Amino acid sequence: MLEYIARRLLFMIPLLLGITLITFMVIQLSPGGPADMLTGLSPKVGAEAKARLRHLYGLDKPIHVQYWLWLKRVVRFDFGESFKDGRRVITKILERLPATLLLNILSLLLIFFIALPIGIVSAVRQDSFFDKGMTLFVFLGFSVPTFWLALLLMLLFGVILGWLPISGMQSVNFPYFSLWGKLWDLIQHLILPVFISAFGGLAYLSRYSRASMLEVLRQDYIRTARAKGVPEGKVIYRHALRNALIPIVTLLGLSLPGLIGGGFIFETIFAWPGMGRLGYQAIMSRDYPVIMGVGIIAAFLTLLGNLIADITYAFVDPRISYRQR
Amino acid sequence: MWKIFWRRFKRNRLALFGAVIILSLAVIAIIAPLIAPFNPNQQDILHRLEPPSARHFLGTDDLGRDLLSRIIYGTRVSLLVGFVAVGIAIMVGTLLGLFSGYFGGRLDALIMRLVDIMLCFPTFFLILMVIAFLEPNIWNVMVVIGLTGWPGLTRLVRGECLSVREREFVQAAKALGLSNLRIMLVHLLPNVMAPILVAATLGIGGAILTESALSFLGLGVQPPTASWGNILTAGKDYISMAWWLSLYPGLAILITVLAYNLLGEGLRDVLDPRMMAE
Repeated sequence: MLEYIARRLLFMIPLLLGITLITFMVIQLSPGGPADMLTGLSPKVGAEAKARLRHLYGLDKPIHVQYWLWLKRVVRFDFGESFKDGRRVITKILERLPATLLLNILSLLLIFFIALPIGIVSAVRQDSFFDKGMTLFVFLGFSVPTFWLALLLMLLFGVILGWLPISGMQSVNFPYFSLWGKLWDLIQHLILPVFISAFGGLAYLSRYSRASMLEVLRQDYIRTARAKGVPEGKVIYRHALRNALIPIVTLLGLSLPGLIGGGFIFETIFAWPGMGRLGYQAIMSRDYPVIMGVGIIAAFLTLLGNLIADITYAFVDPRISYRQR
Repeated sequence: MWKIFWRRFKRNRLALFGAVIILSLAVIAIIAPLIAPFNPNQQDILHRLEPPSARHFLGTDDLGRDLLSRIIYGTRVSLLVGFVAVGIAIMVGTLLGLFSGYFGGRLDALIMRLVDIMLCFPTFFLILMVIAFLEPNIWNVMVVIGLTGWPGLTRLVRGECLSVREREFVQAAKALGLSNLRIMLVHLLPNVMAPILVAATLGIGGAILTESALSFLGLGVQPPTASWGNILTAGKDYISMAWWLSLYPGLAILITVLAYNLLGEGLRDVLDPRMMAE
């Protein structure tokens, strides 16, 4: 098992290199390169800072050397300093990371615990009224612009009904609340962002758990179990579900890029103080070291999510042989 | 073969419904100047933020422009972005997939690693990043959505090629001494067309969603050109005063994307080769 994990970790290295390479190429895209970009768009930055930036990226050197120097800094999570307030980029990201992780982990849990039962019931009662309704819901889920749904929900729950706060992570008088008051306040602020950020994944996963369950229910060992008189409930929840779960674990890992990518919109709409909003603000103010940092950290988190999914996959499916590949 | 296709397609009511909506949208986009009641950029500051009425069916926006006319003109933007972006993605994805699946070996390994890397990036942020460095306008948006949309398709085409490559007619073509390019384009491509067509249809819906999200964030189609996404930006700012600005453009996006998804899923059922054999 350890060997398997080590191999997966090794496999990540070329991917990480590729990620940094693409990010580096994106920097080169900016007209005139990073230094001109900086002088052209933020006149406040003085000559000294410009020289420092030139030095940071080694802009006077040939391009592969530039990449190498840049990479050496990136592996130490040194993305330089923000143009806006001169603070270190990694510090700014680390401040925002907990809010983003909280949002994403809760969304993943919500996706898993809602989509899975929907998928199972749809598969077991194939073509029933419930199944057709859910298929329709899935189609809508794929087609709705989620940021628009977020607007409508803000309008309904925030403006018309006034039940939920529509922005931020805590109320203005948060520091004066009791512990339970604080928790309740946080939960209220979490409801809309978590629901919206889970929405796309919900449709996606319920569809795939339905397909996966249907596939398993067609297998011979299910027919055998039924034939020897195992009660239907046991057939579904013991024999079928276990096997249907396996591909779903991987899919959860694969839905991470979507969640993190979506965060750039949802966190902005709900003024959620996370990494996505930081990235969006950085993009709007052309705060270019922060953009790079957020991009790389986001891709890195995705890789990490995939790794966790791979390992979980190996745990739940004994048929995976750790030695191969 | 077309007959079989049409007969099966007709029976799929949802797909037919999607196709009808898409055709109507295309017609609306073409004859937009004829059916739009107002000039979409005509400002009328005296009638700003008016709720839907007999004069302005869907109300007016913060500059007094007619919302219905702006949505009608927005149809042009989303169809253009959908088709061009997906066209680029299909070309890149199909070519790389064909090369990868047909030649195999090192080239295949290289292309597949590239696909893995691309799939790691949260695509939306990659697009945001590139747009931030270039200038946000409709052409850049189309190119960037297209250039980030190919990895899934490459995987798909490669998988299909791997199995088709081993079939006898490809071996025969090789034995006859046909060039690799000809074998790929004439013998492999038609056999992988069905999944490409399905992916393209679903991809157009996805591209329209991405464009609207970018425009909503102010990084896509720039005002005063009307796009469904940038109308929603104003909707967000005036959400407590003008619900119609938030509701209708989103409905337009929903209906359009839904139509492409219905058509795509329908095509998937209809073009399934296992069923074609019947």
